[in-house]
Amino acid sequence: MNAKNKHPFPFFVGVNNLEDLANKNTRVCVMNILGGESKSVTPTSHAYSGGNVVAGVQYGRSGSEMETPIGNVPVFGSVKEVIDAGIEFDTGVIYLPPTAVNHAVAELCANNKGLKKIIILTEKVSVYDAKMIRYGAQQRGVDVFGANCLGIANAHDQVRVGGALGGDKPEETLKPGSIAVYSNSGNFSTTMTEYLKVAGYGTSTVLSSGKDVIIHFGFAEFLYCAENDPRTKAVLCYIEPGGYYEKVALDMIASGELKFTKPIIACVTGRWKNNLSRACGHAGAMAGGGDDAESKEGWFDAFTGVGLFSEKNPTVSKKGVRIASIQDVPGAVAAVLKELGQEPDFEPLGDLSLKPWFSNHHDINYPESLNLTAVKAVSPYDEQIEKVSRQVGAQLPREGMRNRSGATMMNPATQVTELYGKPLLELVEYPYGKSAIFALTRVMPTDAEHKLGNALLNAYIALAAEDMSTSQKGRANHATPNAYIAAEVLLAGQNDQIKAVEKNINSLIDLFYVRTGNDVSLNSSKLDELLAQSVDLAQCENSEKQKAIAQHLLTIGREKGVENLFTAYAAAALEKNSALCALSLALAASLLTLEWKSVTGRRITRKNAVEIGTHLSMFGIIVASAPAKPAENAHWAALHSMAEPKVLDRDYTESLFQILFNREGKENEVFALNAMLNLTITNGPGTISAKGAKESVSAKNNISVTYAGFMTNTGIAHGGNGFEAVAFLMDVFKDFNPYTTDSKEKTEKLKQLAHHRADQWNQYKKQAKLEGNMNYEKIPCVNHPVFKDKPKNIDPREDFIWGLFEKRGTVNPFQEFYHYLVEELFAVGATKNIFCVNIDAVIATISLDLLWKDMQAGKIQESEMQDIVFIMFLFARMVGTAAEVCDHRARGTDMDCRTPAGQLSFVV
Amino acid sequence: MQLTGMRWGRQLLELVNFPAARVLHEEASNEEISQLIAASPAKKTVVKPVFLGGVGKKGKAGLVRVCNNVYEAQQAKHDLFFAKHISGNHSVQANGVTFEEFIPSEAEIYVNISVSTIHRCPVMLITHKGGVEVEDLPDSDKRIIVFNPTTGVKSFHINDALIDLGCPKEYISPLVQHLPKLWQLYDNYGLTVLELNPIRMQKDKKGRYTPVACDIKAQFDQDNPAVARLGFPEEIFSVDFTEFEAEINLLRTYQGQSDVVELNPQGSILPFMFGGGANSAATETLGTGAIISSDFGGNPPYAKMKSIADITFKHWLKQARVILVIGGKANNTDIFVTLKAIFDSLKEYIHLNPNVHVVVGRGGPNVIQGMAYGRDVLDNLRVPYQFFGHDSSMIGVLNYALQLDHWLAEQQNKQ
Repeated sequence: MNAKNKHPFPFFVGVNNLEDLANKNTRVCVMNILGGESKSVTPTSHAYSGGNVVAGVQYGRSGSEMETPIGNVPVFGSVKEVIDAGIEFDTGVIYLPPTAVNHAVAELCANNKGLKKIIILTEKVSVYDAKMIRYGAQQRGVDVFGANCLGIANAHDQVRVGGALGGDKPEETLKPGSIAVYSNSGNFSTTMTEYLKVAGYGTSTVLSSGKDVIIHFGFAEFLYCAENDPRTKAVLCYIEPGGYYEKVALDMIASGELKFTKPIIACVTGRWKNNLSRACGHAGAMAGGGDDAESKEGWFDAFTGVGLFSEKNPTVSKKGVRIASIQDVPGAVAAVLKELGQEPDFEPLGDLSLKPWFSNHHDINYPESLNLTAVKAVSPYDEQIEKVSRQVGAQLPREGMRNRSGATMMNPATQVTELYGKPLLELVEYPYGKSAIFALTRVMPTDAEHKLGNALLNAYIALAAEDMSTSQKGRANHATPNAYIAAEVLLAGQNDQIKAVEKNINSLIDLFYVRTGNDVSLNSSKLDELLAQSVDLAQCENSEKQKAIAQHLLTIGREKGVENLFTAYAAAALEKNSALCALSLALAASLLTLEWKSVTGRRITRKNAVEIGTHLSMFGIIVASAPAKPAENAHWAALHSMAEPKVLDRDYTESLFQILFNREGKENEVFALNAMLNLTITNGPGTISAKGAKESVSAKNNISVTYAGFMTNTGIAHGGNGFEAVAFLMDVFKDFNPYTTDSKEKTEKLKQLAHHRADQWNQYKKQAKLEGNMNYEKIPCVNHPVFKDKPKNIDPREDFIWGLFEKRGTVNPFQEFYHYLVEELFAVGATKNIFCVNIDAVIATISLDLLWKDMQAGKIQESEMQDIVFIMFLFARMVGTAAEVCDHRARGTDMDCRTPAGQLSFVV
Repeated sequence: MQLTGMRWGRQLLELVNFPAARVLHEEASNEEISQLIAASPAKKTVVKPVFLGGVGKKGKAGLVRVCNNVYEAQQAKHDLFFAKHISGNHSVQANGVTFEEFIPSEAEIYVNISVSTIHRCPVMLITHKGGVEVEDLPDSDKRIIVFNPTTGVKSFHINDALIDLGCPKEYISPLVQHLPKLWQLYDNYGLTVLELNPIRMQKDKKGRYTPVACDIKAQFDQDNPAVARLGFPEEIFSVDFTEFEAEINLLRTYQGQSDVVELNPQGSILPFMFGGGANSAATETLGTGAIISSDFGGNPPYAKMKSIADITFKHWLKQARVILVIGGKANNTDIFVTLKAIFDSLKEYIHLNPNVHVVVGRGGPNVIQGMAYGRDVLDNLRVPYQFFGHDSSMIGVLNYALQLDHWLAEQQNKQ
């Protein structure tokens, strides 16, 4: 027995009581105080402990200071400088890298006669250095804690020394109480302390021992100090495999060398480590022969006299019990202390049952045992969650989005473009109005919502169908459709109507989100609560036309399937306050009806949600500017006059058909237009029209300008070589009308035409090659860089559409011709295998199919036909543009489309 | 880092001129093997498989052949070249053999230097009744020598211990002369364990004895830069790392944050474990469901955590049914940074497996910001998730992940 300290150890131990480890009198000097880890931990420790860090050392940074919430800590260049400055401390804390630790221990020991303790936080100190530290500190008479530990916390004195026990808010975790905690894991020191509170226990002293091969302050010393600590009624320890520290302590107790009369609740883990051949996690947790988890379990079982504690077998003894996992901490500690007749330190706080803080099943039907929903978290986390929950919509980090998109992609395997993961081929079977809303909300509307969607899309055409003089002037100047439509769009700017709708959506999100969450189903008390709030909504006078539109939208909003608090609120609010702008409120309520699932499901950002009406405004202007002679277009005129608001109910595709062709489309024609529009929505973010819009977003333009960006980036080269194909087909079919012939005769004629054209082109190609002209004209819309090496090639996209039309019995003769043509090209030896008919042919053949009869009837001139094909393309791409613009505005950074200088080159 | 056998062991011992049996490698010619046999007084050679990276705690008993001629030696080479050593559920495959000089000896000495957690310093364990499992010997037949760790084990320590053990007198002087060299090797080259078993006592023509090391086990401290002094090729230590482990190990620094072990390459739970305690609890609870065991704790910076997640997802996301992020209430790890890095990486790799589910159990600084970030990313990716705070039992969360994995497996089988 060491006479000086009266302890039973054959080596130096300077402390006698757990309070000695860290208390109000402890004065600390931190080595590497300005290093990364210390910088984030020391200020909190210092403030929590009432200012126990008296100095820091940072080599080469003498004269610096460390800021803390309760004043600055002076920083010196060496321990000698600290002592020379007259500063006294008894505890050194080391945050240095591993190879410097041994030197710092020597420096602290050599220069500070008053040194009593050293706490080493550093991980991966070599065994060689640990051995030298042990020897040096023993010679010098200094207690060392660690290495690779998180230090010591004394909840009674509100002091923590060394690392970050209790985390960034130690006062929350560390409640004073009667349990001493010794843990091989720094994290479990804090986690077990949290778990203790569930049973109503706080801590006396918490020591994170570290789990290196050499633990400088071992289990035996801890038990010795716990025995002498009047605050401590029991010891809770977390033990991993490797090392004989616990056996030494328990053997000393058994032999009477060490007096220890308090219970031990021991969590021993790590049986699985027997399966490993090297360390993972704590370096010292590799067991040798007799120090594996199983052996350690046996040591503690022999001490407590009872086996493993579990819910089924809650047997404990006055000497404690062993547990297999920390979830049993509250139960086992409570049972042991009850056995001793001890009351808990305070009322139990919370429980350890599963309580998700955040949860989203995304429509997965979990079985009951897995079907958990988010519950209120413990304080203060509940308030923090409340705060982040008030953030509406998706929260996306901003990043460079040049050549990237979160909206569209070309699937390299199928070569089919996808919009929000939905292949365009799949989209073909949806009404185009649904696709348009889907592009903005990322959620496909239901059929009931589609009706409201149609009304909104038509309403925006109607609102735009006013003064078309700008586009008309463009037409008169022979501007291309993209130019004169873009001019109308550009001039829309950020007009009052756009602003009013954005303002109203903004206000309604704030009003509704915190009160309704995602459930906006009709509920009269909720409606009354909403109406009782004061809300900043747009005010203005509406024209009769605008009032009619507003009224109609709110009427649809009362129909089954879409009725909800938004439209009910808008109707009631307008009744209550006649100064409100009816149109912008009806639009906002209708738009929110369509997008609320997306907003609350965090599919779109709040910004996107607010701007949805602005996008529909752009759609409206583009469509309304399309007719060559608007006043003569019956549908345009009906929308313009709004004499009969029911015109708003028309299916969007039909509406577009009438705008384009100034007649009602037959079912098959509308189906064909619908397919074509869906097919051409996007070609992925790299396509040039999308790039135009994205680059404009990157330059921080208003939405109207970004749409002009898309349109100025489209031209007659667009649609692959679809437009060339129209010209090609017109030439092929100049002497043959495929619609006036019976089907058998038609087939024969199409085959003849195909053979003739194949033969003609074969001769032309041979001649061109003979003349050395390798840039001879190719036949448009056949062959594809991916679908090309089989004896007979198929572009699966074209094949899909072909199948779709074939099923309906409406394959158009031009597409049929193309199929014969590729066979004939091979037959005459012009191609080495049977080329595919590619997807551009679909666009060309559908366009021609839709236009053919009107052209034959002389209703459409050839120049008009080109415009119509172009405009059809713009109608499709405006929807793709909406998706890209939303995505880029939500994620991108300013000027992110700039090309790095290194990728630019000068060409002579 | 472990090394067993004389192939590299002889080179290690040469560093301090400790006598060791002569060794030929598998490419040795018949003539060389024949000479080795001829030079042996017993006219024999010992053929042993070579296990790079060591074979764990136990030796390779049962995989050693004593051969009398070249034919037998070549047959042994054929049999042992790819021998498998199984210890628990861990198996190691040999890749080569050594032909070693056979040293006839009446006695076998066992010597081990390692750190004792009882004495908290290096100690030497010695017995003159070696060649067997030292744990099986009674305490009276072995001695533990505790010495000043700064000056090392001295001749007199060994002398005193051997006298005390009753070691035959003729062996004492040669052992006292040579064994202290082992401390030089141990202390200067970053070893944590050095075990020679057996050392055979070779008698020369004049009747003098020399201790000759015939087998060796050495364990190195990868945290000790002195290991690099050996100049041994890295692959002799690293062959037991899988491709995934090796990639993660490149990120290893003194701050830890990147310890991994591949547990079950057919597993379906991909766990990111934070902290040594969580590592133990999670690995134990998840069992064979877990693909890896890991400890990424210690407040990893964003770039490091992102790289770890990138490598982990690249290797395992495709087969994972559940991604699990598990840790207690962190002390100093910024949960926002770690979760952001993991979910940013997931965004990049989700195409490998869009149907994965995510379970998080974590507490600590900025946990709510981290979880809110994860919520937004996963909502956007349409990935289902459950995030638990530190007020839910960690074991409960682990069991939840396990149950979820089982249920998802059932659903997959139904399909």
